Amino acid sequence: MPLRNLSTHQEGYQAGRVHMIEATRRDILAGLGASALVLPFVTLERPSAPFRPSGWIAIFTDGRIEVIIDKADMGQAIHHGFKSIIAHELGAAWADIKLQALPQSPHKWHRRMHTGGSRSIRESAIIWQTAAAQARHMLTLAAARQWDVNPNDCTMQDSMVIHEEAGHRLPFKKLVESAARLSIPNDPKLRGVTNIKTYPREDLQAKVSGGITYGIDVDLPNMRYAVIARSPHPEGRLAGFDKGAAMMLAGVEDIVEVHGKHGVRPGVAVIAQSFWAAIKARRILNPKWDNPHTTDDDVEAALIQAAGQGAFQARYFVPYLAHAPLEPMNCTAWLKAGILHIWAPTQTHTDAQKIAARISGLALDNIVVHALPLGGAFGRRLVNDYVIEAVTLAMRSPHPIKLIWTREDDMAMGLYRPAALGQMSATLTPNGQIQKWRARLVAQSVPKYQGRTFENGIDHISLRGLDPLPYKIENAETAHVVVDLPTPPHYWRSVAYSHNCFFIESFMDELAHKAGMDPLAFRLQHIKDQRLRTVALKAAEHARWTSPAADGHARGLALGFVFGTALAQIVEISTPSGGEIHVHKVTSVVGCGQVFSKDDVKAQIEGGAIFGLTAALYGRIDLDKGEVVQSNFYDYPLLRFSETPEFETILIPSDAAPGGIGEVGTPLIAPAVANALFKLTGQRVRKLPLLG
Amino acid sequence: MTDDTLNAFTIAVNGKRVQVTAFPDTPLLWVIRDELGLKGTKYGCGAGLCRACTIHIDGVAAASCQIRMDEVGTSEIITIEGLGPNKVQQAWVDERVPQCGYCQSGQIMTAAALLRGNPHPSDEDISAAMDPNLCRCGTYPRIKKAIKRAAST
Repeated sequence: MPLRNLSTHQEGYQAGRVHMIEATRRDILAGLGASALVLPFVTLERPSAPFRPSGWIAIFTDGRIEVIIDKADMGQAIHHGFKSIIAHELGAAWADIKLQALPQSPHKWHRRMHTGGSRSIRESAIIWQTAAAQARHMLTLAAARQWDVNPNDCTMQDSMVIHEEAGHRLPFKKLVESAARLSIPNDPKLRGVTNIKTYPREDLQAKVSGGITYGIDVDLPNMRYAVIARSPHPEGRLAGFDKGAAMMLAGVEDIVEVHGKHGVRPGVAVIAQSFWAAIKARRILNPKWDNPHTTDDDVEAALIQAAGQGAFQARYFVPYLAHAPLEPMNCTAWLKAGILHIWAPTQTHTDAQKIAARISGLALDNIVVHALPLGGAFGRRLVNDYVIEAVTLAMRSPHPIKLIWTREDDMAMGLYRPAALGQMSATLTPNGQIQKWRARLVAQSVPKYQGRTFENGIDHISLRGLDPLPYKIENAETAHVVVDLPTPPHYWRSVAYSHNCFFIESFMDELAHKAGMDPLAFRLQHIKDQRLRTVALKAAEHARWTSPAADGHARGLALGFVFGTALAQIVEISTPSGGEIHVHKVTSVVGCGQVFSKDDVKAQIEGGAIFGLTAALYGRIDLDKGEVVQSNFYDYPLLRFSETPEFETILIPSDAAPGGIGEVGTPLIAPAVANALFKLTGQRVRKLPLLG
Repeated sequence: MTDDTLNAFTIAVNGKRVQVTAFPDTPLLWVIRDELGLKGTKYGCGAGLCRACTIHIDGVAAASCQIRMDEVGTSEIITIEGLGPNKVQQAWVDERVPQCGYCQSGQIMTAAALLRGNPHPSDEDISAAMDPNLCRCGTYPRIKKAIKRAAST
């Protein structure tokens, strides 16, 4: 298959100057090695039976179409999405396409097995479309030669090639052998997706009947359960624990110290015959920790201090956030006859295998990764700390070990969306045009924390949303003050957009107010991109932006590009008893280019908005002497059924390359609600959560 | 018996009487999952806050993580695997409710209990019944549609 240039997902305008400001206490930021957008290399096997037009699709003489999809299903329906693409582009019957298990030897797969960054469809749809189109062209040509007709007069449907006029039709299985002898077209014409069907989701039956196996459900003969008491401080050390009483408990087999390395915390593991025996033993371990003296509990103050001198008009703050997928972290590992098997609920199978090799000392060839559907992930499972722990324990056990994190472990030992400060300034011309824009992000850098280095010293990942800007502003500068703090930062659904969109879209509203203009009109004045203009106007139309809201209600708007998709969101809120915020309706208009499965795109936008609304209203992780305060859903509440707004979600599909979807619905809801709150109460809230 | 002594318990699950060994304070959830192998009932919080572990006890939806083994007695326990023919699961498929799916057993068990006692619930009834069940993916709008669909068929 030819390497194609993926179209770049234009998100607006680069700031005139972007710079990083070093504010760290000890480290010095080193530059270089950007993450390039690299297209995976697809092996082209010469066709032989089965007919294999690419490394990923195989068509057999019995009509089976086998497909291997190397992405994790974490609720985004990605397997369904790719299967839809193939069925449509190939003209195949839905039932003929069989999804195969994910590769169990990631090191032999031809690209990094990684699911995140709203990248799956953006980066790989074209690969599947091309591979399916290659197969379609070859099958068509094989049929056309047999019938002595023009291949351009043939159509494909239900796994058959059809020539309507002559009344010919042949199923794929009868064409496989002759098609396999043809050469593979390099640049096959694609069908386009305007008339793509909505196919039935195959994962649903298992998901509604309790029949799906997540990582936490893995069950093996003689399996043992493990829980770990970990240092509550990220830099704490184990100073001692009481082994005796815990070892006496029925079913407890072993209690071992786990040394904190490779990013896991030091701790004490209990291995037992049941989960509950392990939990009961852990309760009486009484571990003592040597914690470093930490004074940075007031993260906002620490960031303000790090921000340095300089004038600004508005300063926004967002706290740390936990991912809190409903399935807590877990991993099962088994060293069986020299082969280490890991059942890893991970977004990064390749990384899980690599780290397992490092911990175990085994060669990659001796590590088998069993992929599983994920009970939510949201970025948390990009890091395999739970795999490290499970492998560490399994290497010294004759039995399979299932490590389970409790909800409290998950909350306290998390990796957190960085707390972030945004300092914004701008000047306006008399006609309300932004003249000079200055944005300063003050936050930890996740890639830096993970040891990545940056091209030209710029951490573009933390700046996404702020740079490029969705608005055309001639004199714009963006700076990132990189702060080092002990709390481990991590990517969280929508990554840097989750804070930067709050800064920008709140500040745009403030500027509109200062200019005496309607917030939409003010934004339109700075929008040159047609896609963004379209979604903004369409959202205004559907949410009846220009007509007055009901008594006691107000609307708020936010828009922007998120992972290459243009989104406008308008919320309608009321504040029934002053302290509460009731979000009645969310209108979303989505310009994401090609749409392969409308229903799932809508589900992601709405689910993403609910995820964002949880954060906007309630989300906060606080620290006490460097330890996380929150522990379960009573102090880290999630939005509930009765709080869920009505949704209207409109897609504006086009032929453009697809943008991201899985994270797109999340980051604009907070500024939209804050803007509505200003409209309703005249009070500008510059700090999240709004009910904090 | 003390909480730290393993005991034999006979409980009635999905129409069958089964004997299991557990601590008196072992939450029913872990017995259902790990002793009986019925993995459809999920652990989410261990504190009765998310209701991913919802089962029916004598026909009433309850959080199995909050029920100690020595409290189960002769109650009839039904898990998602034993729910039997119902309109709720099909409605969930028709409305394409699940995303990750992890909370959905609990959501369905809660909805099934609601509809059994109240076949035509109002919006307020649905809200009140479903409020204890958390969904991190945000499938609530579709859960609402699915319950209405199940109620109308």
